[in-house]
Amino acid sequence: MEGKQIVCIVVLGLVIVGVGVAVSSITTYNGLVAAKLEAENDWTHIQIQFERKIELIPQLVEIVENYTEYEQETLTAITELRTQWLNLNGSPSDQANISSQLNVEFNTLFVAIQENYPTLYADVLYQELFDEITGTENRITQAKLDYNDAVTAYNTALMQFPGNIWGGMFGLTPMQLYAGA
Amino acid sequence: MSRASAIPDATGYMVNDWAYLLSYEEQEDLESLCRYIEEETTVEIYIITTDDLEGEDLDRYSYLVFNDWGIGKEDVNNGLLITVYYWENATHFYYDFRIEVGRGMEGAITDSEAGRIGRDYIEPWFDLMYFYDGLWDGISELYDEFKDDPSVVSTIGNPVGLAAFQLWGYQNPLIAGAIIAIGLIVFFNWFQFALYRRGMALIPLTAMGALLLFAWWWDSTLWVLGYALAISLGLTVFVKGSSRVRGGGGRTEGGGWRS
Repeated sequence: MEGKQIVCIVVLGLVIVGVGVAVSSITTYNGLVAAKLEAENDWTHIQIQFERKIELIPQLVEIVENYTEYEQETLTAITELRTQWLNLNGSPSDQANISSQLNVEFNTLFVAIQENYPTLYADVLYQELFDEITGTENRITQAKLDYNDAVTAYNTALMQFPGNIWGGMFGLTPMQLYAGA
Repeated sequence: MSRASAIPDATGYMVNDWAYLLSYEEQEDLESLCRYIEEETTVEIYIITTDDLEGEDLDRYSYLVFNDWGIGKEDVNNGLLITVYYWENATHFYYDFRIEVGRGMEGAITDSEAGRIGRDYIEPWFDLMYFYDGLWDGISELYDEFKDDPSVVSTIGNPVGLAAFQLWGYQNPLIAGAIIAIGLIVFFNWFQFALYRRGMALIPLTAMGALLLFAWWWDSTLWVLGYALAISLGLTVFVKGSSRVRGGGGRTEGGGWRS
């Protein structure tokens, strides 16, 4: 084999490898970014449903206040949690914390109403509100699960080959799962 | 997504009675009710009864199926899914159901309205194991909620192009079948002529095959194909006479014997 031929083959090999690397980096990076954006979008879904839940609180308080005499404590707690929520700066762990505290208070209130205030429990407005709140709770659950699915898909892509190489090079970091979902 | 992989595939039916809670007639009845509602309002109502939630809870199962199947039209998300989870042992039965409302239907059917309908119209029947009556009543009530609401009507219009052509064939199988039949007869005559002339018989034969495949594609319920075959065979037999179908082309030199 002549020298020129060998050089030619080597150059050709380098070109093929170079193109392969470029294509792999582009597709992997784009896939990772798309997965990350999807997860972030899912995160906003959780936020939207949380807002919906918070917006229902004044209605609930209003209805329950007119009927009940002894649930003042729970109502105050719920109102306070709502105020806390509105003053948050969007820290996920605080949000989750307040949301679960709210759930505890809601449960206390709902059980108390079911046991002690049959008129209120049978009231159409209360029933509707109860359905809205449980429905919102379901939306939050589904949004959280979707978010965790999306984050897992992104993290998997990021940690597997070749995502681990390109992800590290472009400074992509794993996202955190929503705990307790 | 990996979680959704256990979710069953769409069946093409709007009523999916996997827990065997409905008789055949009841399934047909509900199916035609759902089809009627879709024709009237474009809203898609699906029913699933199941005894296996694939390891999910009812809420998640219903959510995953809804999104996996894409219930409702794309532009307005006007789908509804009623999932009935049924379980029984030797002495007791137990059910749980969920009305999953599509995103575009939330204005017409709020969570509280879905709750009211489920509580007042479905549960009383289900408690007595009258699943058909509960579903029928529930769907009727749901239909009342959204039937006059223009926001749930999909504007994805009638199918265009090939889909419209296929739909026309589905709706007019006799005319479509007659058109195909004419083609078949023409090519069959050409085929016979080609045999007679000893050449190019493959061209009409291929064309006939293509016509049959085309008829199949036109209407996958096979009505067009059936009509086409019936008409072409019938005409061939009656008009030409079946005895006249012959290959032809033999020759003699005059050999033989006479008395």
